[in-house]
Amino acid sequence: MTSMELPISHRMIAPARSPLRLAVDRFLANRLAVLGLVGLSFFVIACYGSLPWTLHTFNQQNLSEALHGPSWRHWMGTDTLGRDLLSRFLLGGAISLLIGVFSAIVAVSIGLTVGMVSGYVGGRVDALLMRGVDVLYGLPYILLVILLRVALVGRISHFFTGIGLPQSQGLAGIVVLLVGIGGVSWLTMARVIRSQTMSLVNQPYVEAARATGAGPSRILLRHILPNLIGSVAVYAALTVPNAILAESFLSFLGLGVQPPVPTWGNLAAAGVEAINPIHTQWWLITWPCAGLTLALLCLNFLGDALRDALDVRTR
Amino acid sequence: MTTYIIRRLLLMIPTLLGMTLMLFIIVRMAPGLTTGGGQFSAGIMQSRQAQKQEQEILERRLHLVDKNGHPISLPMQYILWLKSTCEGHLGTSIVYQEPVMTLIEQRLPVTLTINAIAMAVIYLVSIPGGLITALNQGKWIDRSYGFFSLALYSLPVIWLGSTLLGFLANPQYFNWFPSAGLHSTNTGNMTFFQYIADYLYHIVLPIVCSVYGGFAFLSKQIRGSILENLQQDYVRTARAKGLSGTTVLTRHVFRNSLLNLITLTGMSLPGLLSGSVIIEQIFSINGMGRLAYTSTLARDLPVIQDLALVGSVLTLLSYLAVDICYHLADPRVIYD
Repeated sequence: MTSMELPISHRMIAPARSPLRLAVDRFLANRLAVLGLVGLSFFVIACYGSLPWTLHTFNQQNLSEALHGPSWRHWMGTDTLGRDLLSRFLLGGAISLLIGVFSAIVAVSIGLTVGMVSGYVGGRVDALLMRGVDVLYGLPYILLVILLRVALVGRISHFFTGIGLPQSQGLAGIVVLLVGIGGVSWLTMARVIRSQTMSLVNQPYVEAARATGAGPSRILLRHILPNLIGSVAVYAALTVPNAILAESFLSFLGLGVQPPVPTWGNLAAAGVEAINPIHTQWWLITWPCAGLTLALLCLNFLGDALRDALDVRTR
Repeated sequence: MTTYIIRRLLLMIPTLLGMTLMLFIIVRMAPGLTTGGGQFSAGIMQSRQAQKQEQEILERRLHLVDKNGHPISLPMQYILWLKSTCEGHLGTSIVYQEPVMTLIEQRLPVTLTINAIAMAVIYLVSIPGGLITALNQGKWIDRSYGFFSLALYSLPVIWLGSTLLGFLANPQYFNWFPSAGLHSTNTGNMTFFQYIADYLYHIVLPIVCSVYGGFAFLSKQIRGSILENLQQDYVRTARAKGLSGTTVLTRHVFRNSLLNLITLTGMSLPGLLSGSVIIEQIFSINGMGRLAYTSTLARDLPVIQDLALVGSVLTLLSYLAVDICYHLADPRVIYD
């Protein structure tokens, strides 16, 4: 923020700034982005900082306190089994954010690899890979996730039990979800990276590198990849909120992470059932949805600002 | 142009083959999908003999066994499925005991109406929105529009949908909207226009839910392409030759910016027919999304396969439509 408040004269005599520095300045000049960053840091610190506590309390039932509203004892109230909603909310946030980040990592690694190879090699390889992307685009997403669940959850949870992890069923559900969401989100990424790589390959500096005897892997990693970082960052930042949202949709349909392991998605889905004409337990749906909305908002502000900061078009 | 279209159509064949193969492999890979018989045949009272017979008829229909009851190999199953599809026979649902085509005919109108109205509203707001924000880049109206559209985009539809349903369609709070169904009970003595109005009244809440999240993306795209076009040389030329600001904007910048819209619209065309599972689930609407979802849960093999197939064909056709429209709208774009 301080760089923004410097007097104009000071900025004008400042030495020429690198593209990275320019992008950072543009990013910080965007108040919404800073707001998003602050809000997200708050969530990250709260959710992950409280892990040592929430991991013990998230599944402690106390039926005599079931469905109590927010109070000093339970800040967010309790659910149908008398579990403290605050600890479930915090752990759920940690898991939802984890799902978002890891799905983005899966999506970026696949999308970047396919896009770069397709754009650089071209010809038949390109045609084959892009037809593959077309094929996957046409397939229904929910079908893919359900089938992955059915086929993989049992095996993975068996493996987890084998190496002695607790909550192996829930963990397996999370892993399958990561693979499923990440495995579908890389398609757009691959197309964007492909077209950018194709235009970068014809740049003089790539030709120069080739003339000096650089091999394909060196050209891709040292010359093309650094120029793609901008789009990668933007797409990764926009994939995180989409993955979190996808998890909540799947949880609503009963296909997401299975309780008792909480996520914002399945907490909200459980809260939806609590809206009924007889008696509305508003806290059950309000807190997880508020968490979901605010986190998505922060992430979208970040992604949007990143796009503005790195997008050459609107500069 | 004709040769181009023909060539593109021919190129679609390998892609389609890939899609069907992929679909076939995924569907057959999941346990419980192929042997889902028995549990869904309604009669619990049926004798074991009758059940077995029914199972056999079913398996024959799905090309799992041949006429004599011998199992057919997987590659052959695929070829037989492909053959009957190419001959124009979509399958028959196991759960509903009706042809998939009939199911689609029943469910498509609702989904299509909701999506078409929602899409129209999104465009009607986003095009002026994108234009205004681009012209006022960085001013408060740009910033607040950006803020609110992103805020709306971040609102989970699960929450908004259930809250709307729980408070606006609930006799205990505000009984403004019907909570389920698509018609009132007394449709018999309504005039045509009353009928239409009644229908629209019943789908207001689902439409609201499909609309509110769509502004952010589209407005941002339009804003971006207008800003990009404003910096082009032809705009400076137009200004230099003395055209008024409005003329430059409407006849030069705006029309060129709309080119980007073709791609975006084309990409969203298949989505028009597929419907949102979440919204249809919340509002208990029997549309395409819910059909796909319930069939997948019920392992209704023919429905899953055929819905996915129809979706894939539509996706490919809309890609082709995008390219053709691009050429029609912008003659500079030539495909050899």
